[in-house]
Amino acid sequence: MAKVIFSTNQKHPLGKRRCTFCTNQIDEIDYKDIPTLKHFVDGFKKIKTRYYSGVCLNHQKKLARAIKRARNMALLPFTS
Amino acid sequence: LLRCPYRGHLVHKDYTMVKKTSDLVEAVEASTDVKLYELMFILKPDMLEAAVTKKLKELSKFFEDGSAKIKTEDNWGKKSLAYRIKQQREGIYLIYDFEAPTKFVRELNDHLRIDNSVVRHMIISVPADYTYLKYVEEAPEEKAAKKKIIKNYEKRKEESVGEEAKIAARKEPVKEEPKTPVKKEEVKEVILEEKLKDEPEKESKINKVDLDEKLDKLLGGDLNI
Repeated sequence: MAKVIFSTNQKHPLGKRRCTFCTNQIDEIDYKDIPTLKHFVDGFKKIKTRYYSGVCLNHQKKLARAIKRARNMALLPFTS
Repeated sequence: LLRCPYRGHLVHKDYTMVKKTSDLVEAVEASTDVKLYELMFILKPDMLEAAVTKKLKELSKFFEDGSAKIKTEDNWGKKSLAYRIKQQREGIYLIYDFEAPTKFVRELNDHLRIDNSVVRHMIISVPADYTYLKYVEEAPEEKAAKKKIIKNYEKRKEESVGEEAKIAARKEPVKEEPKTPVKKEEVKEVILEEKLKDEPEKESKINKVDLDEKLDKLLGGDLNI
């Protein structure tokens, strides 16, 4: 598994943001991939919105599903 | 029942809609379509290794009976759960990738739900070109590097603390020394101030006297004219 490079979307203006999964060419997001999922979770362990994570809509839906699956299997907490 | 050529949903032979759910269920169970699935389940942590192997053997037999092919197996071992499930804080994670007809999945689901040693389980369908990958939390080298950084930071802290102590030790005698000279300086300053106070008065007096004389001269001169 190649290393995922996380873009710092917060510093860029809205027009110049790039989806991290599009740039790394990841099509399917796995629920077992916790080190990457952790980046898209809040301090309260909530799923980050697209405004803050900069992920495109197509990937955001897959991401949300993956995080929910991981929560169900106690790999990620629901809240903290 | 047939598949609609346009949309793919199930229809009767005369292309009318299927309204009974039981008909649909029968059709799905009768179909021999094979799909890829992934099973993940958590066993209780207080199970011994022998018991776990026995359980897995039973499961593999169950798979064989249901005409399912196991593609990959994985055992993550004992892991801490993110939250408590059935009074358990830890669990043994096991993952199976298998090819099976849809009928078998329901049987498996029931089989695992009844089992007391299984804390939780999940079966999901997976795309056909799926390959199992194992994800690592963090490479041991990186962790070691992080620890090193922290250690260095602690060392620096200690060093800085030592330096501060040294500086303090240096300062203490230094502080004591200037105390007396400061007093002297203060005394000197006081004396100087007194002198200064005395001097400008004298000067001002002299100036005043000079000015008076000059004015008198000038005025006298003017008056004389």
